[in-house]
Amino acid sequence: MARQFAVIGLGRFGSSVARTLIDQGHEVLAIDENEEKVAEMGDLAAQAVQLDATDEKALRAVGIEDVDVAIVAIGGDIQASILITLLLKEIGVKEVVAKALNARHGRILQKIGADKVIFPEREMGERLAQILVTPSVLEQIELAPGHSIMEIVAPKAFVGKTVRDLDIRAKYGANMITIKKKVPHLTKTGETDFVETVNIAPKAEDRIEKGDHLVVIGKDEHLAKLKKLSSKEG
Amino acid sequence: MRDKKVEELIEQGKFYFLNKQYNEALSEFQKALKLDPRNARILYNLGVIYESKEDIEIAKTLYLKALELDPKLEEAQKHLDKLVGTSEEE
Repeated sequence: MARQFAVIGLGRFGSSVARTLIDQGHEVLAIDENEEKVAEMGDLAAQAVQLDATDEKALRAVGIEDVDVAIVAIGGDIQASILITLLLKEIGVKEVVAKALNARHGRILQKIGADKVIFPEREMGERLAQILVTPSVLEQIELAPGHSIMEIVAPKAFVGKTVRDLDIRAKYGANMITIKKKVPHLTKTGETDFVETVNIAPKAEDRIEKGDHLVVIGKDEHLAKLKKLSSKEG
Repeated sequence: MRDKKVEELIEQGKFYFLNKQYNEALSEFQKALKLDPRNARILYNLGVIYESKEDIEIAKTLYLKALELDPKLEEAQKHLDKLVGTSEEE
């Protein structure tokens, strides 16, 4: 269902949030002090206005109290970000999401009533670090809080063993639901290639080979153990 | 004479690849590449072996190099598209 959003601050972060919301069919009120940035969003957003968002009257004039969610995406000015977040809560915006520049800023935003504080730089950094540290985790999807499904490269210790030998459920508390294999073959023109076979119901006697991908489902704490094992070999 | 040697190395490399002896396959193709450094097909084959070994970044570089030498090498483009697709999801 389409909801109404306000994005305040149209820097790199704010404008990319605005664009994503618009792409998903939501109505966006885009606000910035800078006329050029407002003009850039003008064609996309339902409404793009240039105003000083620390000015309560100006905010009310554009109907800020009617939006479902306001996102405070101010780049460098911590004071402005705090003031605007406070104003938005006072005006009665239902949900205020504010971008924090550092931990202290984040704590202040929380204290003055931001419903959600985000640390985009930190979150991206953590995600990147995760990818760099565990390159063998190919994908992880959260199913419910604390539970995920993930695809890993088969750890070295698993190679040559059968599903029965591994007994993943007993040893790791997780269930292996799929084994993906790369099967080498030659193409019609005689070049090397491989086809990926997907075994969606691994049997007890199926054997893990080098380079296989395993899809496992379970609690995050249990998956973390498998992740560690998988990343060791690098 | 040199061409024949290259062909032999490639054949041997393919044999190892089909038997999943990837390191041995690599070494044959690398020898072949040394004799014929501008051979896009050797680069492509090396890419496939690295991809099989989950060395995705090296595989990507090799497919790119292969395409530089032979832009019409469809297999390399196909593999590259697939790999680029996966990393964009990250």
